[in-house]
Amino acid sequence: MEEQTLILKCQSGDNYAFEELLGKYEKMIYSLTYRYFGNHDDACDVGQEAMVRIYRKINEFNGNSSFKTWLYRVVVNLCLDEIRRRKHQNTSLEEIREKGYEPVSGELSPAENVENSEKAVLIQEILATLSEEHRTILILKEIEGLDYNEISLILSCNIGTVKSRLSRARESFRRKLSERPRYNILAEGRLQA
Amino acid sequence: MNCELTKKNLEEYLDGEVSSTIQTGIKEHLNSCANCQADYEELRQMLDILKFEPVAPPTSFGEAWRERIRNEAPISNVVDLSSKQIKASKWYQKVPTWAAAAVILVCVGTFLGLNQSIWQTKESKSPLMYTSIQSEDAYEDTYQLRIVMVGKQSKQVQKIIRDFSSSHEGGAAFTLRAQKEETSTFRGLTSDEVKTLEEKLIKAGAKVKISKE
Repeated sequence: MEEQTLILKCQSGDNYAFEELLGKYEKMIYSLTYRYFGNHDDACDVGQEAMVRIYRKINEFNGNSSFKTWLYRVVVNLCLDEIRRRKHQNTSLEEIREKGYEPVSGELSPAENVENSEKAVLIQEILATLSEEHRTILILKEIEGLDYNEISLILSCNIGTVKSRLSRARESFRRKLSERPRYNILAEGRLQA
Repeated sequence: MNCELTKKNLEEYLDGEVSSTIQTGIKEHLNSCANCQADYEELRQMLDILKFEPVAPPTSFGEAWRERIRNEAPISNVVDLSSKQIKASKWYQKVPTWAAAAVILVCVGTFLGLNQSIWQTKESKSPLMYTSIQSEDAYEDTYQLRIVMVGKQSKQVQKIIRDFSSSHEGGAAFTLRAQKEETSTFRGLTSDEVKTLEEKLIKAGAKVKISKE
């Protein structure tokens, strides 16, 4: 069934249509929440909340942007709300570190997995130290692979702002990365390969 | 392309967001300038570190969110309540003091037994109103169609509403106006009528909600 038809059915109260429609975006939503929170437990919890929020707001989608862009906007806002809520509750960085970051292992060799998990931990640690603004734009651009126009629609800002914010976020990330000794090991490993 | 222009556009070049002319210019410059090539490599390596494949959710995630949705209130109920609350609150917030005073005067006037027909005419111009075209008694086992959103082709949708209202004898149409937003609900429609109307409205870009009465 076409996406437009599914959306209309959802807006008419058809729950089966909602499950079919969101089933197609399940991976994207989970991946996004995972990048914000860095572990499967939180990604599952926030991902479920995201689905409920989308369900409650589905009639607010008016087709002015693509459905995917609208979804990103809802999920990004939810993740930021959750981060602020946790800050408000004084969840310390130490607690997050204690809870741990679970690197993802796919179809990789053991050696690749080690490098991948090292890299994942490093990135997640640095992302967690960035401002919400910089973290969001890096997740959308570098991890989700969205283009400037899509990001500007999700964040409701112009393309010029996307470019300058992205540039500052990358610079901030690069600075923090260069302070980490592990970065040099990763960089050397990659250059040798 | 010189060093200054290359450096200025390097990030956009790596992001694939430059025109083909600039792309060719930067490519040629990078081949001939060792300094810019080094900057390019450094930036590319840093961005490569950030690149990740999307994370696949565990199967339990799909089951968990579906279960949550099944336990939620139906979409129609959730949306109906919230949208009406939002519209109502916006309307009340924007009513100026003089308008509120006028309403009080109207109520007092009505209470004092002034001419009913005059006040009924004024009431029909209030920003939030229900206009009954025909009696509600006229419909039986039928369907209700509500236009949730008019969409971009609002004139076409309005024409469909007008045409249908004039030809539709068996039911009643209610119009709710709140500021610039307009939502129409058709009641007392047969299944054929509801299908025809739905088709026309969706084609015109409107969003509708149908329920059995």
